[in-house]
Amino acid sequence: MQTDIKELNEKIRLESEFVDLIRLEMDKVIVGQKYMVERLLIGLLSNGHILLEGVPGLAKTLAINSLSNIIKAKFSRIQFTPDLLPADLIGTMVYSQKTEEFKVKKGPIFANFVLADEINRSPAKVQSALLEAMQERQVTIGQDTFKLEEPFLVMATQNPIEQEGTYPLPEAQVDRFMLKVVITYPKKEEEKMILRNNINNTFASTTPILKPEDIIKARGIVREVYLDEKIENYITDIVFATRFPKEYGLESLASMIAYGGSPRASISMALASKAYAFIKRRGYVIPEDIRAVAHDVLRHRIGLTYEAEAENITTEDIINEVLNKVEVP
Amino acid sequence: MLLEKMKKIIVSLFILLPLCVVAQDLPYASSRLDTSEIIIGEQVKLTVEIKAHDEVFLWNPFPTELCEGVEVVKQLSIDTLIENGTTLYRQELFVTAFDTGFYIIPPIDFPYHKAGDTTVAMTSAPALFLTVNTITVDTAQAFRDIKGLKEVPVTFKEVLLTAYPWAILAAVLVGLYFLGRYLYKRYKNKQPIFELPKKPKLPAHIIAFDALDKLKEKKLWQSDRVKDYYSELTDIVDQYIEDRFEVSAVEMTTDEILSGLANHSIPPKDMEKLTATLQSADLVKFAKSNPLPLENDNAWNFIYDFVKDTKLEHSVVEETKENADIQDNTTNKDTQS
Repeated sequence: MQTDIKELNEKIRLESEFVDLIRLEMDKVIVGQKYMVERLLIGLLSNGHILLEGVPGLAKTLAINSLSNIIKAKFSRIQFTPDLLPADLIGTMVYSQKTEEFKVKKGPIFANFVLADEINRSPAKVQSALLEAMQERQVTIGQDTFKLEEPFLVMATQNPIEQEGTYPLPEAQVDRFMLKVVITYPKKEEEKMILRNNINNTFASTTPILKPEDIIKARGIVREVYLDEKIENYITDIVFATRFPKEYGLESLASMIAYGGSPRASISMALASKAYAFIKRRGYVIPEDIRAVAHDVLRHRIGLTYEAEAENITTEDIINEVLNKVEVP
Repeated sequence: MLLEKMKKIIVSLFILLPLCVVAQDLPYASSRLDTSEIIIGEQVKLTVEIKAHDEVFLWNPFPTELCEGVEVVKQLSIDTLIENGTTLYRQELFVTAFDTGFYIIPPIDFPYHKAGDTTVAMTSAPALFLTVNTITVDTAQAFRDIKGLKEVPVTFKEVLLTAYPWAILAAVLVGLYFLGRYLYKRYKNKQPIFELPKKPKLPAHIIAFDALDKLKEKKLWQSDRVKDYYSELTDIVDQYIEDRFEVSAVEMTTDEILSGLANHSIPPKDMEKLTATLQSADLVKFAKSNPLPLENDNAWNFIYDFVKDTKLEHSVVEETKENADIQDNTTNKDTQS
């Protein structure tokens, strides 16, 4: 068994080389935002979708566009607006006068990388259409069902500033995103570099170095990353602590949490930690990996009570408390 | 004339009778009044004494009236005094009369029997005379109105028992409610109903050494339980770090523990040993690694050395404890102020 892990470690060391190449390519076009890029890779390798929250102008579109270019994958961007219809997203049946029959016109969702920009600007029916496609990985138009191409990664963005004219995502829908990543402004030095690049018009471009099949293959290896029972217990302890804080000596949180992480949270945490271990070129998951992804996995899965909101307690505070209280194996 | 003679004889008899009793063997009873003359309603103390050897007396309570018109207001308990082989029983009564006149308090009988003999004998205290006088009215003075009823202050007990019995019941019920709530809360939180005083905690290194010895005795890795061995070893060192350096290592990952200890002045060689042990423990715990027997022994030795080299010396432990106490007191004072 020990040999298995050694072999797996070696295999991962070799197979995960492309991660560094992707990073290098991404660094060519994006200044800073390493955290976002790393989370994009986790989503890509663990077959999950990402909800991104950050103010406009933080290179969200550029990041996913560059990633798709590096992987030589199909990219589409959908700007969610209040008048958007599900058909604008998934496609519709169009009557052809030439052939005198209805033809399927596929929507922008038929791509490997989909950027759903400002997802909360569209009403629930459009959001549901997207989230259903994300979950099922197939779309039905008329009588026909179409499988979505693999890899399929949706990166949805939310603008945290504006609340007027938005349709916040329901909790059940948000749960379908594996990670919710909060991105912040670049550092001062990074911003100076962005400024110079824009003034001098010195924009580098990415080179395609991978094929979508490479990602699908890597996903298989990621699933092989060893997750010990102790780590499984650690994951379930963290998720259970968000549901039943009193049982973990977190009495003060009991009145702050309306609902805790769902079973999807446990699954997502396990998959994301495996992907993180892969990125770190390791064949096994350690508690550090769990900690690294815990915030992104849990922050959109914990419901706050009015009491918590009144006391300015955020989900970040709750996750921190939970991580500081749950014993590390 | 004859009546006068008879009176003298009776008086003489009453005077001589006690002398006869005195002359008798034990037991004998005597009685006396503090004064033989009182004002109507005034109380006088009547003392009854019995001198005896080992006789057993059958004590009966005194009647409420010693004779018609003389009432017993209060009777104190029997006082016993043993002296020179004899026992002296003394009881004091307070008597009064509410009518004027001359009263003869009849002899008071005390039944007894000797120890080991059930035959009841009797000894009697002699009769007593009591004269009750009325108050002399000074007719020369002017008439005064009859005084009204005297107001007696109402006590708290009377108020509670007579006026507000429901208040007592309500207070008891409220008390029971809060007691029940307290007990339920503690039960629900799985806390003991009464908390026993905590035992003083041993210094961190003593706990760690003790746990390390026990771990060695278990021979876990020798019985193919390497994972359990490293789990326990890291638990011991985590707990030691938490107690010794106040770094909450139990809830930290290896990297976090090592960076948490970076600010403490730990000798580099010990830090290296700790790093090596924690990292190999992670491999065993999470990556199915199976180190060599020598490595297992080394891991134990590294932790033992780490504890030994970083432990607080006794005097320092005491000093730290004292400082903590002083800080506690200061904090308490601050809180109070």
